[in-house]
Amino acid sequence: MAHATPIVFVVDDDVSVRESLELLIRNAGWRPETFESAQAFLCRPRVLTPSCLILDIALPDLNGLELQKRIADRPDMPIIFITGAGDVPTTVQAMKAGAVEFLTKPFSDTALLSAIQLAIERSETRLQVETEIKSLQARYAHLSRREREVMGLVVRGLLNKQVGFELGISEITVKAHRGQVMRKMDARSLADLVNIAAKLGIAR
Amino acid sequence: MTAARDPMIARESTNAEAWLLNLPPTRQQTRWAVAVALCQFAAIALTAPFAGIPLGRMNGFIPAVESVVFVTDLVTSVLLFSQFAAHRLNALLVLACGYLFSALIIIPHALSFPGAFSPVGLPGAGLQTTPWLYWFWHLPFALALLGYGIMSNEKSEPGLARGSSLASIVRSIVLVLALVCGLVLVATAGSAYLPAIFADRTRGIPANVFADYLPPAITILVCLSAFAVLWFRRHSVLDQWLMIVALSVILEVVIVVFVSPKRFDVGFYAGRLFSLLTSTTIMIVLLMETIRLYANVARSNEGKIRRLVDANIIGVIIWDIEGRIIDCNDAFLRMIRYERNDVTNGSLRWTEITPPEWRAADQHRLTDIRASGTIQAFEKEYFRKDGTRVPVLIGAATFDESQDQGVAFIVDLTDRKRDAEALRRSEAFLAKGQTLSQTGTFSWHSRTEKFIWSDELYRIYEFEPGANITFEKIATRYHPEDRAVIAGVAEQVRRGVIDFDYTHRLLMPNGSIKHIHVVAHGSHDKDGQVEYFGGVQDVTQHNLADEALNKARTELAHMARVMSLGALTASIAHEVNQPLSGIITNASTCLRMLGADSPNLDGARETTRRTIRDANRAAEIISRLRALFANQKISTEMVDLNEASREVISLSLRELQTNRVTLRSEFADDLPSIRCDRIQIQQVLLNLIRNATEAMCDVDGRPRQLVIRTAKAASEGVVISVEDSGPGIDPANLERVFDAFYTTKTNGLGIGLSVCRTIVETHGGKLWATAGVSHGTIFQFTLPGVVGRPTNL
Repeated sequence: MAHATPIVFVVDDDVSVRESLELLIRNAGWRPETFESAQAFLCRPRVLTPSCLILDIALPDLNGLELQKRIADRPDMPIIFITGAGDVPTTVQAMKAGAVEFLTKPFSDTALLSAIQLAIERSETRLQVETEIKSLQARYAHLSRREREVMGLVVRGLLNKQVGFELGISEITVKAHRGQVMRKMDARSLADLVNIAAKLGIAR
Repeated sequence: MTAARDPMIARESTNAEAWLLNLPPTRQQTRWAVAVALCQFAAIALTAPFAGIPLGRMNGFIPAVESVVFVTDLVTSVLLFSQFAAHRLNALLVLACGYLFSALIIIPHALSFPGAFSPVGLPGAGLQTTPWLYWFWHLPFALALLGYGIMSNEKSEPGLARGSSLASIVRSIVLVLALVCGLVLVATAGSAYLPAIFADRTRGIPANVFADYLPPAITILVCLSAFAVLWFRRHSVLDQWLMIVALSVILEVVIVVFVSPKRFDVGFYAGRLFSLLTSTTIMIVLLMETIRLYANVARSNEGKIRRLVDANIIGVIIWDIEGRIIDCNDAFLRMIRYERNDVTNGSLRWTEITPPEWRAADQHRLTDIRASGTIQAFEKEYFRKDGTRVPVLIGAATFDESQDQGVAFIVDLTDRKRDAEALRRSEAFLAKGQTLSQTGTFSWHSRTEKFIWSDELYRIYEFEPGANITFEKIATRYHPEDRAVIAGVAEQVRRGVIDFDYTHRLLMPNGSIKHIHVVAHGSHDKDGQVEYFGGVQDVTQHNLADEALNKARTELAHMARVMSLGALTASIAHEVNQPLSGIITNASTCLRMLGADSPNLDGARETTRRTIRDANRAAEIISRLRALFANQKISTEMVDLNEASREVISLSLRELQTNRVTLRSEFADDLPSIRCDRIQIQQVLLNLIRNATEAMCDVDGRPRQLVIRTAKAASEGVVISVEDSGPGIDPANLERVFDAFYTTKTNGLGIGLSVCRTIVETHGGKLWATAGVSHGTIFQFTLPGVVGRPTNL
C-alpha cells in the first residue's frame, strides 16, 4: 500500500481549474481525483494511500475553510489552498489550521507541483508513523498483564529491584518478565523500549 | 348703622343735584302748589265782598300773628342759610337774607303798630311809621324774591371752603341788621319827612294817592316780575313754592291796599292771615321737602347697603370687640356653614371660629382698628362648623359712635386659593417641562419692544434670571459665524414674515457653543401691532448626536461603496481568474508534455485545446460583465427637473448648512419635462452637489457659494449646471476627473464622476466640466428632450 500511486484530490467549482489541474497532476505522475463541491468530496471513502487535497477557498455551500475543519482528523491528507482572491485573514486561518501551502490563482505550475510534492511526502511520513504505531499496538496487545506492569515501571527508569519491590515480586521474576517484554516488543535496548512506550503513549 | 353716618350719604347731601333747589317738581308737588294757589284765589274771592265790614279792634291780633310770622320767617331763613352753606348759591343767600329781613322788620312793625304793645306804638313812632314799615317790610322781601329768581341760574360751588360761606352769612346778617335799623330809623325819626299814608291814626284813612299807591304798585310789580322769572325758570320744587309766595304777597297787597285799605275790617284781618299762611306754608313745605328728600336719600342709600348685604355676594357681619357676632348675612353663614340660630342665640363668636394661630394677629388688628377706625383687608382663616378651615379675606371698620362695634366684609378665598394652587402647579409643570426639554419660551411685542422670557430661556442664554432683555443683549451671544443667519431673520421680520423656524449657534462667555432651534409665530392684534410667541430649544446635544450620526452615515456610505467595489473587484477577479488560472495551468502542462523526453503530443494538443477553451471562457465573462452594466434597466418617466433638483437640494440642505455653504438656485421657469430615470439623474445631481460641497470645505475668506442652474438647451433639451467657489481644477485635469479611479480627494474612490458620466451618456446627454468665472468649477450636463434609444456604455 505504501507504494501505491499517491492520490491528489482537487475540489474546485470551476471546470477550467479542475480539468487543467487534472492534466497537470497526471502528467506529474500522481493520480488526480477531482470534485466540484465539498459535499461530493466528503462522499469519497477514505484511502490509506498517501494523498493530498487541493482545495478552493470559495466554494458553493460548504467553503474551503469549513471543509478543512471537517477533515481535521485526517492529518495524513495535507491541504493546499488555492484562491481567486486571497486575503490575509483567510490565509492566516488556513495556514494555522495546518495547510501546506496557500496559492493565489493564477499560480505557477512549479509552485503547485512542489507544494504537492511536499504534501505527499508529509502524507507518506504520516502514514508510516501511523503504520508503525499500529504494529506496536498489536505487539503491546500480546503482552500479559504482569509484563505490561513491568514495562510501565521499567520505562519510568526503575531498577529491577525497585520494580520487584513495587510489584511485590522477586528481582529474578522481574528480569524474566523484562526479557519477555523486550522480545515481544522487538526492542533492541532499553532506550528503544522507552521510545516505543512514548509512541504508544504509555504515560508515566 | 344708619344711613346718615355713612360717608357716602354725607357726600350725596352736599351734592346740589340731589337737593330740592335742582330737583324738578314731581307731578304731585305741582298739583299741591296749584291747589294752594287756587285756595288763595278762593279765599280772596270769598273775602272780597265782605272786605269792608268792620270787625272792631283786637289789640292782641297783630302781635300774635306777627310773632308767628317772625318765627316762621326766622326758621325759614335759617334753613336757607344752611342750604347756602351747603350749596354756595348766592341766590339762596339773597333769599335767606330776604326771609331774615322779613323776620327782623316784623319786630319794629309789630312794636309800632298802634295799640298792639302801646297805644301809640313804638317810642318815637309817628302816625306814618307803621304803614311805611309795612312797605319797608314787603318791598325788600319782594326784591329778595326777584333777586333769587334772577340769580338762581348760577351754578352751585360746593367746593369752596366752609369758612368763606360762614363769613358770607355773617356779612349778610350784619348787612340785613343794618338795613333793618336804617329803615326803622327812617320810618320813626324820619317819618316827618315821609309822605303821609294814613290821614287818621286810628281809622287808617288814606292820606294821599301818591303815597298810598306807589309802594304797593312797586311791590306788586316786583312780585309779578319775580313770579314771571320763576315761571320761566320753574325747574325746582323751591321755585314752584316761591311762585306761590310771590302770588300770596301780591294778593295780600291787593287786599290790604285796594280791597280793604282800612284797618280792623274783614279785609285787614284776612290780609294779615294771608301773610301768616304764606310764611307758614312756605316753611312747612321747605321743612317737609327737606325731610322727605333726606329720608329718600337715606332710604335709597340704606337700600343700596341693604342690597349689598342681602345679595350675599360677600359675607357681611356686625361684630363687637368681645367676640360676639351681632348680625350677619346668609353669605357669611354659608361660608362657615353655620345656621341663623347660632347667630341669634349668640353662640357664634368670631373669636372662637378663628384658629388659634390667627388669634394673636387678630388682637393686634383690634388695637389698630380702635385707633384708626378701619383696617385694610387681610387674609385669615375661619373654622367651619364641621371643623374644616375656610381661607377668607376680611376688611373691617368700627362704627363711629362705638369703637367696640363694627362691620366687616368677608370674602371666601377657597376658590381663589385653589385656582392659585392650580396655577402654581401648572406653572411648575411648565417650568419642569421646559427644563426637561431644554425649551425656553418668549414673547415680543412690536409696540412695547419688550421681551418676556421664561426661566428656562434665561438658563439657555446664561443670562441673570429676570435681567432686562434687549436685541443688543441677545446679540452678544450670537456665534460670529452665524450672524448672517440672524441678519436674514431680521430682514424677514422687516418684510413682515410671521413664521420662523431656524437654528443657529450661541457662543457662551466661557467659550462653549450651543446650538439652538428657534420657532416663532407672530400674530397681528387689532391695532396692527405684531406680537411674536416662540420657543427656543437647546439642541446642542441633539445636534452633536446628529452630527455624529451624519458622520457615521457618511463613513458607512463610503464603506459601503468601498465594500461593494471591493466585492465587485473580487467578483471580477474571481470570475476572470478561474479561466485564467486554467489557461496558465494548461499552458504549463502543455509545455511540460512537449518538453518531456518523449513528448506527449496528444496530451499537448488536448491541453492547448483546453487553453483556447478557457481563454474563450474568460472573454465570455468579460463580455457578460459589460452586459451587466449596459443592460442596467432604466425606468424612464417624464420628469420636471426643477422639482427633481429641489428634492435633491432639500436632501442636501443639512450637509450644506453643516459646511456653511450658501446655496443659490436659478431655475428656468419654462423648463420642459424630460424623459429620464429620475432616480439616476438625481444621483448625478446629488453627486455633483456633494463634490462641490467637499471642494469648498477648505475655502475661507470668500463665500462658499453653490449655484445650481437649470436652463433650456437646444432641441427641447435641458442643461443643468452646478457651480462651486472652490479652488477649482487644473485645466489639464478637467477631462481626467471623469476617469474611473481618478481622484484628488484623500478619501475618495474616484468613481463618482465616471459613474455620473455613464448615467448621463446612457440618457443620451453629456457631462463636462469647465473652470468657474473667478473661482471654482462648473459641472454641467445636458439631457436631450427627444430621447431615442438610450445608448449602451
